[in-house]
Amino acid sequence: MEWWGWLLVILVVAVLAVAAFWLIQRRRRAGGVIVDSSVSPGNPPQEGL
Amino acid sequence: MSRLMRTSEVIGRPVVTLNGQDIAQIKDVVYSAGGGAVGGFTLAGRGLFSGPLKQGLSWSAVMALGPDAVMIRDEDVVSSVTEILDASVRPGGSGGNVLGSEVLTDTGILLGTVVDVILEVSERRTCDVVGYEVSASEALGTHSAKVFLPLPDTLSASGEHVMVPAAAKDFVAHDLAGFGAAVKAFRKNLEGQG
Repeated sequence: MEWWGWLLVILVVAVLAVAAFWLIQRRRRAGGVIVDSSVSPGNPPQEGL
Repeated sequence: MSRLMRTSEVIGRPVVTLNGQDIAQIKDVVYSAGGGAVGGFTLAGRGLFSGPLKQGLSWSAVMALGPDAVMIRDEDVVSSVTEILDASVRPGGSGGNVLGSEVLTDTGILLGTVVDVILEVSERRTCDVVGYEVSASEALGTHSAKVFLPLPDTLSASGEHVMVPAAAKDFVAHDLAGFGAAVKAFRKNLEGQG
């Protein structure tokens, strides 16, 4: 392969790596609403239901 | 006087110190099922490639939850994210994300899926979860429409299901403007039953 072919491959791999990293970080940065799932005193567990 | 807002409006909002430093952005809203009080926020970095931070912000450290930014005194008020989660999520609680959870009544009827959570921010500097925006099931008669479902003072939720009293479906609101009145009427109704 010519030298410019290798250069092209390296550039494409670099761009894909940056894009993948950005997508992963965007997903990790995505927010949510986290709730305390333990049973509160107002809602005691009911056995037998 | 209090105002209602969606958590989706808060998530991604920049955290700015009084010196004007933009130190982070809001990632997760953390609240307690025992009363619905918002305990704090987890944070993410502001850069294009930055991810979640190990720091969090407790609600007591927030000076103002403005329409464009969350204001804090300075960087020193930011604490460890484990402290934020420990404060609101008690040991034994798995602390799941309620977005996407199914809403069930205590009589076992599926009302829909949570698409957003509604916060009430009061002038007394309290911030509480008062309702869910739900993609409605057929049980609400408006299949796939988005409606607002009021919550009682004491909530019951996990990462998979959130529970509401069966009476909640009688107090559904179709817009955020009328939702405050629906929450008050719903809670008054529950007090009357109790």
